[in-house]
Amino acid sequence: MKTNIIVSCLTILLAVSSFQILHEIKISTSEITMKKNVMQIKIKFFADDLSSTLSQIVKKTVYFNGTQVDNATLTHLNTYVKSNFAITINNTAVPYTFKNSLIDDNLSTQIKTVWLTYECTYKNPETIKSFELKNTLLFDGIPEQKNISKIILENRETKTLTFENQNDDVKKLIQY
Amino acid sequence: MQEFWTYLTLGFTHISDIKGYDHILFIITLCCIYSTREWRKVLVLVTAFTIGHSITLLLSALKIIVFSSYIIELLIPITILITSLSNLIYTPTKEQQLFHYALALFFGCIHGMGFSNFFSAISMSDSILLELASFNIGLEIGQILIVVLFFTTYVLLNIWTTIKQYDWKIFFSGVGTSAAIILLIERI
Repeated sequence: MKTNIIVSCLTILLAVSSFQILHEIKISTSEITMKKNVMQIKIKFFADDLSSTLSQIVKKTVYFNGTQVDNATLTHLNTYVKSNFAITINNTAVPYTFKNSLIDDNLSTQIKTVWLTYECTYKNPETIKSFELKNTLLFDGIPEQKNISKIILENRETKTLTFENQNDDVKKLIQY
Repeated sequence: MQEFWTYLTLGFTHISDIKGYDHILFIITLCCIYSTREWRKVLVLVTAFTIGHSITLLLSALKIIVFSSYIIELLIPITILITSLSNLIYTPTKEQQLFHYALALFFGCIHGMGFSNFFSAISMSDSILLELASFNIGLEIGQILIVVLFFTTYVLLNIWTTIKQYDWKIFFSGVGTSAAIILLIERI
């Protein structure tokens, strides 16, 4: 029995030691808020995840230092976001423009995040019947990536959508 | 309701994810000294752990307490190490049982800070109470499932083999000790 226990212990130990060291979180979050005619889009990334994915695309190392994303990186980043995060309302694509960026380097928790804010105007939000969101952010760089998007339209029920790279979740449709 | 399920699922998958086995391992090392007949003690122990991690998860999610994630990532394997070593050294007597519950409560506080790292990473709203509550319920369901699976395995093994409670305890405490040391070394 003792031999069995020792052998089992060693087997499990080998398996355990081959696992990932830290419980890595591969999630980005976004919030789309519509108040009156203004739609605001906030996207939050982990800086290291965004950096590794963007570096692969632009084929050079991208750093997120300081309090805001630098202009050179921002050009690539905006192109990347717009090709992977698309809003379609009532079967019509809704273009949005960059508003600002923030690099939040939390020294106490030691977690660095990048926040991007975009805006657009949408006339007559009360006419919205369908809202489609494509969110494939970081899917090309991180196989286990999950994206959570919250849609808050004025006078409508708040919706939360989850996009999973492993489940090939690309687009989600909300009917009002 | 949709938001509730999203965060409940995230809480559940976070605690039960085998890639992040540290929380699973802690729960197992906490329970492995008990037999199925001692389910009441397990229930109290798991409740103490739940109270502990709920308190710190709430306080840190509301930014009332702030801590270094590096320190917490170091403290989590230490909780597994202490629990495993104490399992190997002694089995709590009636008098020591209360101390064991207090330890579960205290270590629950540390794991709660670990959970809050994850939660703050996925949360971006100012009104987080619903998200927090559903995330915590997801954690609880995952935790209960781990305990149930653990004891079901024990019962089944007891039917098919002549495994003794002592061997079971030594086995999981040994795994806990070794894995905690590996985690600790790699996180330093």
